[in-house]
Amino acid sequence: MVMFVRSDEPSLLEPGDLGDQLRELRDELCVAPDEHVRAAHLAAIDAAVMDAAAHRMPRPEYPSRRTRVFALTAAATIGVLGITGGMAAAGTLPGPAQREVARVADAVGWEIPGHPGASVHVPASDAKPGRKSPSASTTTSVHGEGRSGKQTPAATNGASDTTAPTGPVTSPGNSGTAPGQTGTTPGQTGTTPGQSGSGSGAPGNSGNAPGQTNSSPGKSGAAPGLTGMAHGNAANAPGNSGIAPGSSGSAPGHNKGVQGADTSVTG
Amino acid sequence: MSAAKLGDAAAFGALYEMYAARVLGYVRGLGVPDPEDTLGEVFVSVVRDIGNFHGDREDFRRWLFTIAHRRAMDAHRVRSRKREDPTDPLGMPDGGAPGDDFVDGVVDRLGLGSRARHAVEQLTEDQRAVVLLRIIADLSVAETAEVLGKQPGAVKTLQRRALAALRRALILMAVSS
Repeated sequence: MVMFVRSDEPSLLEPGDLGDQLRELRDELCVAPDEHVRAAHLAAIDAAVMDAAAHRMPRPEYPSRRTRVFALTAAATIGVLGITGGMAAAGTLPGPAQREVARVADAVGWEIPGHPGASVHVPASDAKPGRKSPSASTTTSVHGEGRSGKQTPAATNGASDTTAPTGPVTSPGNSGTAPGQTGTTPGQTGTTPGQSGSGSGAPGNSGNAPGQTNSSPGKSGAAPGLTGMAHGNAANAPGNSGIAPGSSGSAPGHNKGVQGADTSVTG
Repeated sequence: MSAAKLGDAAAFGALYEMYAARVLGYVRGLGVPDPEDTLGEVFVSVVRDIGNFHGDREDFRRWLFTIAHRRAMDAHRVRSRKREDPTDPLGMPDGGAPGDDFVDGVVDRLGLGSRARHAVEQLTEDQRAVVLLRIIADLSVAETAEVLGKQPGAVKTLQRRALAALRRALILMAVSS
């Protein structure tokens, strides 16, 4: 039996007092196990050694939990941003969200519908007092005007703003000029009939209804029949032109030069 | 020790030969029902956890008896649960202290039976553990406290009371005999 000798503290096994009895007790208890027990224990130890060696073999490494969580979060973020960006580009987001996304996109130079930089401000001074619509002097979006029916600059300003920057954007027939709301005082713009809306290039974008060409008879110098009404003014509802008979520079019968253009006006 | 940490089975066998008798004596003295099984579990735990051990031979002895003490406590708990289970045929209450039947068997088999052993059986569990770790594992007070998870002062108190109880028991045995 291996003896452990310590010198830092007095042993309880020193002779005298209880030393003899305790030494007797130790010898009584510390009896080596039987041979078959010893053999069984050594076999168990060998098995445990082999098992421990098997567990020490390298295992295939899997991504840690933190890595998996990060990857899932990144994938979800990218997915949400992609979907939101796509919807924003298509202009199908709800209004506030669309504006917010457009604002952010505008900061990085992307043109997305709904952002403030793409809107057009219509000065209230261009509109005739008392005849403009409530939204006439507000900032309106160019996009979607065809649906909203709001005024285009070309339509609002009559023929004076012949080179409206957004003229090409406006689809034919969508000028949406509210009859009688053009706010253009006849005789103020002095636009020669036949030139109105020519800057826009698109037929029917002049937005000038017959009688709204701002050419007061005798002032514009435009010869009757030269009102230049382009084809496609059908957007102006008949009877809504607000032109009193006789006040239009284009008297019926004088528009013979533009056969077919007056078809929407008559009546 | 280094060979054992590398997984050498022969090194574990040598450690078993060196310490098995003392570990078996400790769990016997604590009254574990089946000390041989507990001894085997202790050395299997040594094999499995040797990678977590760092130290020299003295440290290994303290670590080994820490494992032995915990396995002995586990065996006591298992025995207590079996006794509480009325449907367990092996847990029939015998009215004696844990390990009494085994100690009696050893005494009968070996023909031994010192008065000291009977006196130790009258100690509390903690007092018995302190005395056994001091005389069998030859641990210091501080090492004994570390094994038992107690403060050294508490171990000194336990040892002092244990020795006093042993003296009284031995005196009573001497008088009665």
